[in-house]
Amino acid sequence: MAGLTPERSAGPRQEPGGNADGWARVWRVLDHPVTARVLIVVYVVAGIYLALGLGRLVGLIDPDLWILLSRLLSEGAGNTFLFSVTIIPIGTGIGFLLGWGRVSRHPLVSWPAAVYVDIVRGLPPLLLILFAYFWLPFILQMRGAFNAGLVFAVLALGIHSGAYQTEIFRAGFNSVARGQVEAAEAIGLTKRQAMRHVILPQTFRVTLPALGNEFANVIKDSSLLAAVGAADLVFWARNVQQFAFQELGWVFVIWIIIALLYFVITYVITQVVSILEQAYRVPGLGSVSF
Amino acid sequence: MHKWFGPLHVLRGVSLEVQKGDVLVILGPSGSGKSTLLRCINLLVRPDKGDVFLEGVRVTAPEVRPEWVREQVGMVFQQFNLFSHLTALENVTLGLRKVRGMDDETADEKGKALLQRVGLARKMDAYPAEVSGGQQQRVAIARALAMDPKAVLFDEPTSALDPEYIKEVLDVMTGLAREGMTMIVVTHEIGFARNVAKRVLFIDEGVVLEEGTADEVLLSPKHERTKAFMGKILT
Repeated sequence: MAGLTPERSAGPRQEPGGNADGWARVWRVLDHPVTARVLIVVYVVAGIYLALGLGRLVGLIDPDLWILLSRLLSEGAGNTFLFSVTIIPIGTGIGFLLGWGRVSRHPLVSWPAAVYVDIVRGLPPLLLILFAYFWLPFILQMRGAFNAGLVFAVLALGIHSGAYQTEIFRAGFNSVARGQVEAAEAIGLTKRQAMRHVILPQTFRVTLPALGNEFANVIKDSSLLAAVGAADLVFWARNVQQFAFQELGWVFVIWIIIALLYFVITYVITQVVSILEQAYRVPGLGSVSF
Repeated sequence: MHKWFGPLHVLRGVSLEVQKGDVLVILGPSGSGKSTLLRCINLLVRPDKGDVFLEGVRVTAPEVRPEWVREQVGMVFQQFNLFSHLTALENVTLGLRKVRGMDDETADEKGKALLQRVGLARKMDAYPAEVSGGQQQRVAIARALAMDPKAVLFDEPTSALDPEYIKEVLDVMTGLAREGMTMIVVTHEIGFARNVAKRVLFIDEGVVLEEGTADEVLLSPKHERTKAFMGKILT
């Protein structure tokens, strides 16, 4: 059980210096699971940028293509990351509140939450995006304002993910045995305190794996935003491709780069969840309890 | 006291009184309303009719906070109901820290002393899933005692335990009774009732059928239904 404590999974914090056992030190750091995961990400990103930079230097990439490529790597990757980290909290906020609503004893609260889940889960995210982008600004008379359509499209993906996260949180709330709430009240805790100190910490632990999974989905779903002109990875990949389509080799290279960048963004976010999972792991929670 | 769950009349006018330092054992078939009765005493369930008095204070009065009542009347559950994400020590100290506002150090000190008292000082850093049922229930007793309750309610504390663990829990309870704790115990442990109970109550279908000393109720019951029940659990 010692290996599951937060200190261990937070990674070794050894200061460099003293190279008496230099290789052993390096190996110890590499050997640590978290460090190894960080390194994978660093290697992949550095590898892509280095390879392309080198290609430019030796003249393999012409200046016009280079401009497009660099925008793909900066703006495209940046926007995909930005969309993801915007959509995820929106979905989690909706999911948490409605998931809580789903377990409510009042039908006026639980019923609308259930209807929301059923409707939103039944619609393709692309349809939600198109509706939000083209129709909402029109209906709300917001044409010509800031890029309202895109904001709505991002919100639509948040609403989409929120439906799935509602079910995740519902399961999380349900997993806390009713008797524990009773026990909390029996020692004098108020309902609010029981929520905060007994239900939420357990919901948090139980929902983490499923949330990590859903976050990974959100990142990939965000690629649909390219359909309404959001300048994310897929959008820029198409631009570059149009420029370079005479050379089939380049098309492959670009899509491999895109795939790797999606992998990296997904990996970073799911690893954050996974590290939280390990740091807060409690024997008996998340597996069969009493 | 009366309690309805929908159309179901669970408690049909139960009255009882426990003196300070006494142990009252409540017997009765399942579904007779014993658990509901206990939950009405610490207001986990609010009685529909009737009142609860604690040292002369009518705690069912609307201006009395139920949390205040529950702080003073501890409860031990059939399913232990330990907080799964907290260690044994944290389980015991949660109320001290969050209800009493005690600082961590003082709370830990008191928590350790209580775990010592139930014989679990070595297990204070273990999570509920890592200890046996008997140990979980002893932690639950320590958790109830942490609030320095005036009385403790026990809701079938040994019914969910494997036979090998029943004795360790009953021993702790017997010790508590000897130290003068006021206890109301719902149980089928006849041995415990005979050794420890000052009085025994037999409840069936929401009414008190019989009341008296352990020997009176257990060995020479007057009521037919009590006789039938004793016949079943004594053999």
